[in-house]
Amino acid sequence: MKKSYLVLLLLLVGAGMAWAQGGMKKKKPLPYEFGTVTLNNYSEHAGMPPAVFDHWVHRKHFTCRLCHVDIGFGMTAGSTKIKAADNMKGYYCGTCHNGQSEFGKGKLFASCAKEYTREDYKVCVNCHRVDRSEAREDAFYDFAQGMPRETFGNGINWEKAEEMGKIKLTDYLEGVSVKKAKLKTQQDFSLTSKVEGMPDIIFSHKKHTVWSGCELCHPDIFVGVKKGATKYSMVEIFDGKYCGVCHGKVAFPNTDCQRCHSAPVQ
Amino acid sequence: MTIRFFIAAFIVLCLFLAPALAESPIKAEFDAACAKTDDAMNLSVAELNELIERCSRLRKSLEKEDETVRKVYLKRIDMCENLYRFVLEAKARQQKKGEAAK
Amino acid sequence: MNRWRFRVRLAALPLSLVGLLLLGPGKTSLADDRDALAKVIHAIPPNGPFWQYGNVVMGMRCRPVGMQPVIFPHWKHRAMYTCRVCHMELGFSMKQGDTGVTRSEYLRGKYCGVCHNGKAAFTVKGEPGSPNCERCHIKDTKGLEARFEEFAEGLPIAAFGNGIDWAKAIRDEQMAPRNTLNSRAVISQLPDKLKTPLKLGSYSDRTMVIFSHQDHFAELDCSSCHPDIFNIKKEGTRSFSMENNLYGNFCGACHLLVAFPMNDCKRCHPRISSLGA
Repeated sequence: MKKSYLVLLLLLVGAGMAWAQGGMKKKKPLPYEFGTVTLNNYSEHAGMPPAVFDHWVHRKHFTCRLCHVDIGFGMTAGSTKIKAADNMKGYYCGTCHNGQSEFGKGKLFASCAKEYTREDYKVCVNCHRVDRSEAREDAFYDFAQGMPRETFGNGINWEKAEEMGKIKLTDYLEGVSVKKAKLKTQQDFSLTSKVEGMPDIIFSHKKHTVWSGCELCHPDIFVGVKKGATKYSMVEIFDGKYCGVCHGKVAFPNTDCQRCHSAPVQ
Repeated sequence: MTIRFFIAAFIVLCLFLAPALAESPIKAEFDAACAKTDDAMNLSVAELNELIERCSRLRKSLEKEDETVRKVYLKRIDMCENLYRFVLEAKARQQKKGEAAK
Repeated sequence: MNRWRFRVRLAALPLSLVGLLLLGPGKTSLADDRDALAKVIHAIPPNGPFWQYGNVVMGMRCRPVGMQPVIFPHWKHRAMYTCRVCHMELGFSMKQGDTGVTRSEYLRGKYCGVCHNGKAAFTVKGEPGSPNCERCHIKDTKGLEARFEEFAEGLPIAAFGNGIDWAKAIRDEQMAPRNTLNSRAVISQLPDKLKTPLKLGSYSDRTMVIFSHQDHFAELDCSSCHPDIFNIKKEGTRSFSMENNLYGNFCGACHLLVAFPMNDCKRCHPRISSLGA
């Protein structure tokens, strides 16, 4: 018996060595893990486990831009460098998670504190998670049960869920968001695919601006003003540039080819 | 049923969410300068320039603020100002094209 | 008796790979040397009888509750459905033990329960001990073996794996596995450019590889392989070697235990001659 463990161990070492060089299929996140971000700029230095943020919990209630434009969260994990003090002052997570905001049946827990009791610490682990929580996984599957299905990502077609009225997204937070003039949607357009026979991409400004506004993508992510001037390649997108900023880890992943390459082939 | 429940929850939520800065002059000035990002494509060059100028002034007035406020608002101003500049550039290019066509 | 044969076969894979590990530290030098390459090839897990190839034994959750492990024959299923149906649409992982299928899940119509619902195929429902249970939690594999013999009759022959040339069977329209369970799913077409087989260079011209996107696309989606297994950068897949394939990387993700195994040199290296014993 012991021998077989040794053999297994050796095999794992071998696989690990090869994995380091690529070629191994990366572990595809399970539906409830998709869009989960681990933040560890300061947590471990402060003696806390890293904060784990689930996009699915939040995106069923709020638009992307509410957090990424109005509250000011960056678009890559760790780029915002959130400090406990920021949260305690009522910014970032603390904008809502302040112990006072009413939400659903009760008040939202307060994020971060200078001092805490053993009892308080039970709140800390809501984000500073040590273990995977089965209750959380179950909560995900219970929620996903009623949502339109999708093959990739969370296994939920979020766009359709909103269309069907299954989720209603809040886009305005009093005291944080700016009262804006009504959004004038820019036109949709198609992007020609470089490979002959690959369906062209239909890009919908409408579908994007309703959740993301304008300033989330322009000019930070898409800087070109002239249509067709920037050549986007799948290599770059897979590397997390352009569309890949969102459509890799949070929005439906870029392996869902047909969602974008959707124009009929001529 | 749950949907209705959540809508009600959001309304309550919105009422309760009011960070300290809500009534400060900085937030008011930020609101004024950045309320038009969604409508930026319809602004004239003069209007855009004015808004950009307003953003720069706001940026300066932030220097005295607390670290967190600075971090949050500088990022928000960046996004809004950069969008105005982006649209301005797009407009300049369009105009050039128009002139060339004539 | 049969269970033992499975165990032996399962144990043989890690053992042979360890053998490969001990062969030498060199990454690319190995394949340069003819003898060394021959040794690499001998490290391929044993093929076993045709009817057993690609059978997956799933017992993680069965054994603790005293159930027989499930024996899943790929051959039975791939005649009716392409790889992408189960591995993309139904969410089955490509790694054994990764999916963590539970009884409550398949009873709710997930995973196996999608088809095994009493309509498309026999149902997974039933009290423990009912005859349907034994159709997957197989005690005696003789029946499975007999059904394989019947099934394989008339299909194009291959020397390894299941002894069936699956790709040819599809090309010759002897078999038309369904490519989706969703009648509204959009399945993209293979771009023309990718229809010509790719010629991939190797250490020597004799070992060059002919790769057919078309044969793979008949079973899979672009995203089954790109970019996680093969990134799409030109000459970006460094460390793409026979040895790494044998660790289950690159081609080895499928062509080790389910798709035709790598002893079938000529299927990919058409110019290769037999490599010493």
